[in-house]
Amino acid sequence: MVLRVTTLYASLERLEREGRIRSAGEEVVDGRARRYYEILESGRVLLEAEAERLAARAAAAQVSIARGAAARLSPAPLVAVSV
Amino acid sequence: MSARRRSSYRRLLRWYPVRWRLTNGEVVLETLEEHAEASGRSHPTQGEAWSLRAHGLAERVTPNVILVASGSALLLSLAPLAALWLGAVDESVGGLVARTVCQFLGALLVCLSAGALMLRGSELRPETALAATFGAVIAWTLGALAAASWSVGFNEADAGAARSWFGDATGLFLLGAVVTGATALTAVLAGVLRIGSWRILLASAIAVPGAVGLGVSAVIPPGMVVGAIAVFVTVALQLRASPASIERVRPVPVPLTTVQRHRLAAVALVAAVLGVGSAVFALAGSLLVPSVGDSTEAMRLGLLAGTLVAIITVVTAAFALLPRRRPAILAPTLAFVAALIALSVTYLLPMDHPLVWPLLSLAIVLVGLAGGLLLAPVLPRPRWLRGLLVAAISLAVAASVGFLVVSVAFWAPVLAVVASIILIRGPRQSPAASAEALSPAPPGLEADWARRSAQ
Repeated sequence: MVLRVTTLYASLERLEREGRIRSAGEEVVDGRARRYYEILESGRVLLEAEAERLAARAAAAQVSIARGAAARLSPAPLVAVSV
Repeated sequence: MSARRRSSYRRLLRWYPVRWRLTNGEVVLETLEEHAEASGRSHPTQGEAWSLRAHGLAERVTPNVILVASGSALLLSLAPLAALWLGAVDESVGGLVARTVCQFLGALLVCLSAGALMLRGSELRPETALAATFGAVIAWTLGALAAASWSVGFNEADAGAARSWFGDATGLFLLGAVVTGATALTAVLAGVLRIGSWRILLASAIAVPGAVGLGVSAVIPPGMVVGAIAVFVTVALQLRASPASIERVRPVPVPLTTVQRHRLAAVALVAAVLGVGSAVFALAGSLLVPSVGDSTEAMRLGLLAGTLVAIITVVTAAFALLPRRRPAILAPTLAFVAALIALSVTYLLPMDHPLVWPLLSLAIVLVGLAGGLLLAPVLPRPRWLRGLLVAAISLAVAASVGFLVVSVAFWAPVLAVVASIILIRGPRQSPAASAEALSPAPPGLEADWARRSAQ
């Protein structure tokens, strides 16, 4: 997934407007202006909830992958062939 | 560092508003430069350039811009209706062009305002919004040309003259309008629907009839007026919901007692019975009571009685809403009652009396005013803006659905029955309110809860 600079700053602005993050100063590094942001309490709560949701999905995916691997490893059913 | 690349980025950033550039311009420019340098690019990519244009334009779409756009849409959509009501429809070529421009420019502005609302709500990506805007402009332009072409073709056929290429091209314009409109709508719906790989197919399936429906609603006079009111009120509510505009705390509503509710329900039931009787008399009075005269006379008397009974229903409903909407319900109630009185007077006068049409128009305007005043408490301040919004909504309601007041004798009994049922059942307690009743909130939270409920 590629995140464009425009999308990144639009998202940062939205999060700032919603009170999830706030600007925490600017400085010039190697001749380039940089802005730092810090996460606020409401943003942290949202982030934790999102991390838990993603972890639950990842766990469900792991279970599904493990089941698939187990199915592949189990021997094929015997078939009686009469001649 | 490439001076040419930097200058290209700086030029593209001009699509953003000045205030945004002053705050974020340099930081974003440096980030773009850093990203381009890391990727080994000497100039912005096409995708990057379009993204910057789209995001820059999206930054300019503020709630005030949407309010102005939807307000203009409302006025434009109202103009042909007003001409129709005032009997001032101009059948010349100039009149046809003006009417078509009003209808289709109004429709375009309604669609763009609705899209802008979705953009503000992060339902739509700026790149998608920009592409859909292009599509919408082309679609509505072709739609306007199709409507004009049909009118020209009709006039030519009516006059028995040879058909011009323009008069003959209605189908072509229409096809182009539907295809581009459906494409624009597909882009919007595909961005909104989050249902995985089937979304493009589903979006297209909805977009084709959706585009046709939008086109049809543009040529039906009240169609776009209703759409414009919807966008207008939504954006007004959004403006009101912004923290800066919350100015005062309203008192906590005191619900009606059971006895008061039952009394009002009884009055509403009586109004319902009398209303049904009036409606039946209006339709079959001459058969039921031959001494009344012909069916026209019976209809006149039935409508007069039904309209007067509707006043009881309106006043009862106002009393029922009084504890919740005080004093905001008083002004719209007075306006609606005045409309019903004006309408009643028209039934007392002979049909060809010169005052009948002005009184009927007054009744329709007053119904519109009642609608505008009803929404007034939720509209944003300052006072002049609220006044302007009330005027615009009143006009729109009057022009689109105001005429329904003439049939009030037939639909008021239904409202009276609904009102009586609601009053008998009583207010439904919300789960939060039930929980609160079971476990009282700490004293510190009580005031906060009351303040939030009131907002």
